[in-house]
This record gives sequence, structure tokens and C-alpha cells, in this order.
Amino acid sequence: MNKKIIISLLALAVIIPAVSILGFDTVQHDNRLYTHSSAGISSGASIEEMVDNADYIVEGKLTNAKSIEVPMGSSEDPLRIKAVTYWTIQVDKFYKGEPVKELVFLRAGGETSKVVSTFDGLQWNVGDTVFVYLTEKDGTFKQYGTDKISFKFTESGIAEAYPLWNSKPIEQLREEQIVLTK
Amino acid sequence: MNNKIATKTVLILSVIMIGTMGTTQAFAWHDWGEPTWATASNGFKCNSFSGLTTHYVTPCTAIRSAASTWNGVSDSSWSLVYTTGTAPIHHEAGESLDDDHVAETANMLQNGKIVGSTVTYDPDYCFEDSANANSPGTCHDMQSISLHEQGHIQEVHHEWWNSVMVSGLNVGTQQRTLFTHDVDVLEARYP
Repeated sequence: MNKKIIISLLALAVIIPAVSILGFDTVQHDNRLYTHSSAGISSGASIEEMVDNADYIVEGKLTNAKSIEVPMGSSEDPLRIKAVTYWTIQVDKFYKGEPVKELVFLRAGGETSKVVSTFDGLQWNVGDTVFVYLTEKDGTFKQYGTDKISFKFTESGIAEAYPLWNSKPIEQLREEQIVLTK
Repeated sequence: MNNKIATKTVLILSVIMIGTMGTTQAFAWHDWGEPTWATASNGFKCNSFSGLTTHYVTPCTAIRSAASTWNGVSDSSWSLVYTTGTAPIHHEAGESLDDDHVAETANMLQNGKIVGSTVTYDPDYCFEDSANANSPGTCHDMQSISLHEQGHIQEVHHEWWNSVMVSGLNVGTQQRTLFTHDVDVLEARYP
């Protein structure tokens, strides 16, 4: 990481804790809204820890959102569904790790013609600029602070998703691919 | 997990997204155009809360109290009726795809109307009755969380201030009463 990037990240690290006191983990900086992938933050990690420990740090713009329906997983009513959303991140900067052009990220919540899922986490919207922190272990990539979503590069440069839900793979999601275009 | 519990805010605020949000999430004040229930009176039930860590609170009791609060809005026909039988609204423990939130509400639609709803409370977090002096104060007040989620059942989105729909309740704190704004929204949507 070069000096300029380090300074930039440190500057953000100063701003973000102040905002976090209010419960925010999004920060306005240079007239841009920075939204940090919040799994790490919600698990108690500081921005500094995330910067130090993440293997990949991506800054990018959300360019597309595609929601799909998945089973709720309720044993009481197997027909119940909710929505999850694939977010396409057009990568502008790579602070750590090997650069890629585009990252498709899976998150809870979304809306289809059959279901509207609302969650109480950080909301993403097309057009937002986001930071995403990923960790890597043995070629598998995960959002910092969570074991629920992982990515794995294939030889073709495609990263397949292995999302787990209640510790079980969801077939619909396994059939989809998270594309991490190099 | 303990780190999560210690986190000052888990219902992370979406409200600060005001500056860039162009979707319905941002301007939830009216929620006009959002789908509504075909009828204002619906049954709800409590499914399994297995795996949910609780302190001095029975989840379904807290959920029923929250429902009573919404039911108490006098100039609205909105009414949630507890049942152990078949009901369109379910509350249960359920893990979420993301780690950053304690609860999620999914409203199922049919012909533009809400026909079913499932609220899941994430067992990655702990819940308490924060009005109980013996509560640890480091968990989420179940009744307050449910009050908020039951707003989502109505398809009301997040607010910025003076509302139970503000997403950002600290652990160990309560918001068990409705704000004037919440009452106004409910009365407008379900007169």
C-alpha cells in the first residue's frame, strides 16, 4: 500500500469512529458517500483492524442490483420465501489485493414481484460508493467478519459463490455465479 | 459473538443515506405507493425461537406486547391477532445472510397486495427484556425490535428521526411506544 493510500485510509479512520458514535458506519468525505461493508464493523472490528486484516479492500460504485427469491428456511412453512440481492460493484480503486474490474456481491434484502424483504442493516443503493473488505484463506474469499458468504477464484478467473444459509447451501444460489472479472 | 453483543448499534442506520438515496428507502415518510395488506386485521403466530439467546424475556410475549401497541392506535383499523393456528404472519428465529442486522421482515406479495409476512430474529444476537433490572443491558430489547419489525410488516420503511422505524436502536435500550408520526402513518395507511 503506498503512502497516499495509507494517508487516505487513516483520514477515513479518523472520521468514521466519530460517525460511528451515532451508530453510522457510512461517512461523507470529499462530497462522496462511503459505505463500508458492515459485517466486520458489526462484529466489533474497527476500521483500522479491518484495514490491517483484510486481504482485499475495494472501493467501487454500485451499478446494478438484481434480487432473487430464496426459501425462508422455515420448518413451519417451507413455501415461505424472502429476497436476496446481487449487487454489482464497478471497482474504482483497489487498496489491497489483486485488482479486478467488477465484483458482484450478495446481500440480504431485496424486492421481487413476489416478495419484499427489509432488513435493518446498512442499506445499499445503486449509485452509492462502497468499500468492501474481503479476507482470503486458501484461495477462498469472504466478506470480512462473516463466514456466511465466500468467494473462490477458479482458473478461468470466475469466482464462484458458496453461500450458506443455516449452514446449508441454497441450491438456487449455488446455481448462480458470483462473477469477479479480472 | 460477544463482540457483536458489545457493538453499540446493530440496527445500523440507513437514514444517513439521505444524500444519495433515490429509492423508496429514503423517503419513507409517506410510503405512498407501497403495497398494503388486503385486510387490516390479520393473524400472527410464533414459530420456533430455538437457538435464540434470551434474557428475562419470552420472545412471543414481547412480540404480542408490540402487536398490542400497534393495535392501540385508535383511528386505525390495523389489528394483529395472536393465534396458535394458521396465520399469515410468522415470527421465528432465523439466520440472515448478512451479519449486520438482528432481524429481517419478508412480506410476500400477490397481485400487489401483501398476503403473508415472516419476521426472523437472528440467533447470532441476544435479546432481553431491558425493563427488567436483571437484564444484562448488552442485548437487544425484544419488544422494541419487534415493534420496529411490525412496522415493516405494514410495509413501512425506515425513518430518520422521531419514529420507531428509525433503524439504530442501541443494545439495552427501549423504544416501546409509538411516536406521533408512526400513529399518523398507520392511520393514513390503514384508516
